[in-house]
Parts: sequence; C-alpha cells; structure tokens
Amino acid sequence: MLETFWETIQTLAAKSAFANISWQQGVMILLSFLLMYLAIVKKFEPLLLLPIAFGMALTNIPGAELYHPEFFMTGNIDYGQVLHDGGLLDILYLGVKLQLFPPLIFLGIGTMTDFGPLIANPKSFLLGAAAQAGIFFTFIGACLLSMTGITSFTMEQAASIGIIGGADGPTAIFVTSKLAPEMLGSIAVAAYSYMALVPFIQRPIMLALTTKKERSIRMEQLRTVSKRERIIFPVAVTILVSFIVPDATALVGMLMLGNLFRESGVVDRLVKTAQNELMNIVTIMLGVTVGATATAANFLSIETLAIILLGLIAFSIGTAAGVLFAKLMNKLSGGKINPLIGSAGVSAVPMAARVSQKVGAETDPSNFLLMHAMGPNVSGVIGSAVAAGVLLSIFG
Amino acid sequence: MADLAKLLTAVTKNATVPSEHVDMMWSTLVTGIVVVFLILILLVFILWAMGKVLNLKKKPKNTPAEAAASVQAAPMPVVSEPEIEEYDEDDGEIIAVIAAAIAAYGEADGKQYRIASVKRKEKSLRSNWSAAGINENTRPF
Repeated sequence: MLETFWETIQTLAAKSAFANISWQQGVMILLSFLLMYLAIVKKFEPLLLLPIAFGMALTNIPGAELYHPEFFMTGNIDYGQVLHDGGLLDILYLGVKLQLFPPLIFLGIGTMTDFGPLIANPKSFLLGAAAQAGIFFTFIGACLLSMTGITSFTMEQAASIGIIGGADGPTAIFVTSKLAPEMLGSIAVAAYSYMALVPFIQRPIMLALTTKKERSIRMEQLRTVSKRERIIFPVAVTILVSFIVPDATALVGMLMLGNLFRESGVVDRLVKTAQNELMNIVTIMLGVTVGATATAANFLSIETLAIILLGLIAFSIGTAAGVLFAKLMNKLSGGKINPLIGSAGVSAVPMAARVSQKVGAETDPSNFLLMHAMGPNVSGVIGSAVAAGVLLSIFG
Repeated sequence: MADLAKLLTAVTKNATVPSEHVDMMWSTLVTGIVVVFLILILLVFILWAMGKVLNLKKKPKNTPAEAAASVQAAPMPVVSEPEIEEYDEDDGEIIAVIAAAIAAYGEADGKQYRIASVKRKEKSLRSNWSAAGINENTRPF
C-alpha cells in the first residue's frame, strides 16, 4: 500500500507543472502577474487587461492543456478536433477565430455611444480620419524594419501591428485574428496597455504641437441634434461604409445596430442586454482567450519588443496627425477650432476626449472641450473600423 | 480594385517583406489614407445635407398652433440670472474691497503691492449658471 502511495506521489510529481515548466513559461507567468498588478493596482484598462493577464497565466501552465496554438495555425481549422481534443480556452477561442467577439463588443459600444456631437459638427469626421494616419505609417515602419533584417514581419503581420494605432482594442483583435493570429497576444497586450497610457502618451505631443494661444481657443456651442437625425445616422453610416468597404461591415454594422437600438428608444430591453450582460460575457471570453494566445513560444521574441515599440509609434503618429490636422482646420476656419480636439481622433473612447478636456483646462480652466472632442473621438471608432476594412480587403 | 487586392494578396501572402515590394507598401499607405478620408468626407456631406434637409423641414412645420402647444407643454419657470451691475473704475467701495483683499494677500506674502488700475474682467461667453453647471458635470474628468 505504501508502495502504491509512493508511486502515485511520484507520478503526480512528474506530471506537475513544477517538474515540466520551462524558464520561458516561468517568465510568461511572471509577466502575467505584472499585467494583473497593472490592471488591479494601476487600473490599466482592467476590464480587459485582467482577463487577458489571467488567460496568459493559464495558457503557460504546463500540462493544463487549456489552449493548443497548433490547432489554429493551419489555414483550415479542424473544428472537430478542436471540440473533441481542445481545452476550455480552445473552444472559447473559436469566438475570436470566427470573429464573433469583436463585433459583439462593438454592438455594446454602439448602445453606449452618443454620436450627437459628431452629428452636430460633421467636420469632426476629418479629425477621426487624420488620426488613422498612425495605422498606415506604422505599417510602413514595420515593413521597413523587416527590410532591414531586424525583424521578419510579413505584410499581414505589419498590417496587424499598424492597427494598434487605431487605439481600438476590438478592431485590433478583429484584424489580427484574421491576418496574424500568432501575434494576437502581443498585439492585444500592446493595444490595451497603450490605451491605458493615452494620457501620458498624448499630453506631451499635444503640448509640443500647439501654442498656448491655440490651446485656449473657445469653440462655439454645438447645436441641438434632433431624434430623427440620430436615428438616420446609424443607418446612413452602415449603408455607406459597407457599400464601399464590405470588409468593415461586421464592425461598423454592429456598432451602428447598437446605436440604432439606443436612439430608436423602442428596444430598451435589448439596449440594456447589449451594454451590460452580453458585453460583459463577451469581454470575459474575449479577454481570457486573447491572453491565452500569449504562449511563451509566441510572446518571448524580438518581434514582441518591436510590436511594443511600433505600437507606441503608432499611437504617437495618430495623435500628432490629429492635432496637426486640427491646426490646419483651425487656420482654414479662421481660428474657430481648438487643435487639442484633434488628438481625440485616435478612438480610445472616452479617454482621448478626456485628455483633450484636461489639457485644454490646464490652459484655461473655464474652457470646456469635452463635448467638442467627443465628435472626433467617436468618428475615430468609425475611422479605425474603415481602416481595418481596408487592410482586410488588401491582405485578408 | 478587387483585382488589385487579389494581386496584393498573392504577392504578400506568408512572405516577409522583400525590398521589391516597396511600391506595394507605399500603395497600401496611399490607398488606406485616401479610402478612409474619402468615406469620412462623404459622411461629412451626408450629415451636413441631412442636417439642412431636416432643419428645413422642421421650420415650416412650426405653425403658430404648435408653437403655442409647445409653450404650454413646457411651462418651465424662467429664472432670471442675477444681474451684475457695471461699476465705474472710480467706485470707491469696490476699489476699497479689492485693495483690502490685495493688502491681505500681500501681508501673507510679505510683500507690498501698489494698485495701478482696476479694470473689470471681460465678461464670460457663458452665463455664470451655465459655467457652474458644466463645471459640475465635467468635474469627474
């Protein structure tokens, strides 16, 4: 009996993660602890970073077999194998792989977004477009890094890195899961970390590119938007964007469906479900599975460092492009536009708009830019979805 | 457009970026920025036109009967903002209060100030009530 007991203990010890863990997996688990710390203590986008960090820890526990990256590496996924042999996270990951989760998150975002400031001041759309420059210039940067031999990004990977500049987590996940699934963990971590760091990244760029006089410009009060305009808006945007870039339909369509729910005022139950229960459930599954893709083999590489660096560049270029374009619009409008609202065009709703408000208030505490910045901010969401559609139509 | 996309896909699929594909790289940059701007500019025009059309439609509908009904439907009490009287620069009482405040400030600071002139600050674009309301609502940000 004692012998059987000893053998069982030996078998358990041999199968345990302590006996099988590699140093890379150890590093990944420690890294997940760091991300948990940032999410819990520093409040870095905790709603997503916390499940991502925990998913990262789970996937790097040897022997747990919760996630098998090899199931998803080939072009044709054997869904039978995933369901039969896959772990919990493999099955949940199908929601990312089949591109279900990001559009569902967009549905929830749509129910929570007020497009009123954008409808009242349609010119804000231009700032949302200008700030997407970060996506495409970072794509170029990633390609150039590969050409110099420092990294070996494919064009699909370069496009996925560029989309970090959209400052929109679900969009980044949507594009990367299709173009470069092996990079999903690194790109999601970089995207959400930088979104949390928006105030620190944007503020110095905004201050460097604007004068005190420009920062203190007061903008005209926005007009009132009628309910009819609010209802027509989501339908018009969906039709126009989907007809021109069909690849953006899943994201833009769901965003606008959520917004139509909200503005129609006749489906309160659906609005409540989409912005609470559904969004929360999807956020949990999306976060954990995206974190699960950050296996040691995928994450610990020079490419991840390059992604983190390029992600920062993408955010910075997007911010600078938005501010510079707003300066141009200010000149053309005869000094009616405060350039600080340009930086809000990078999405990151509503954080980027808050930064515009805060930096503006530093110069003149009685200047309220928040509502003016919300226009470019929500147009940035549409802009990054369109940019994602363009990249998918080229490389998808 | 679709052919271009297919060609780009065929050239780039699963290959690191060789230098001969530089043209394609730049074309992606230009295509991306142009398409994003094009769509969003179209949306600017659509929204602008929508605003014009709906507002034009709205105005003739505003018949006197409806206007009277809307007045009846919203019997909000009109709260008049407290008027701040204009004072002349040589108003003794106000000058005395300002001078006393500056003197108290200077005493705490250990310095003496000489008042050269007292001018009324330019009136705010917003009413005091409106500014206070916005201040309260945006405090969390």
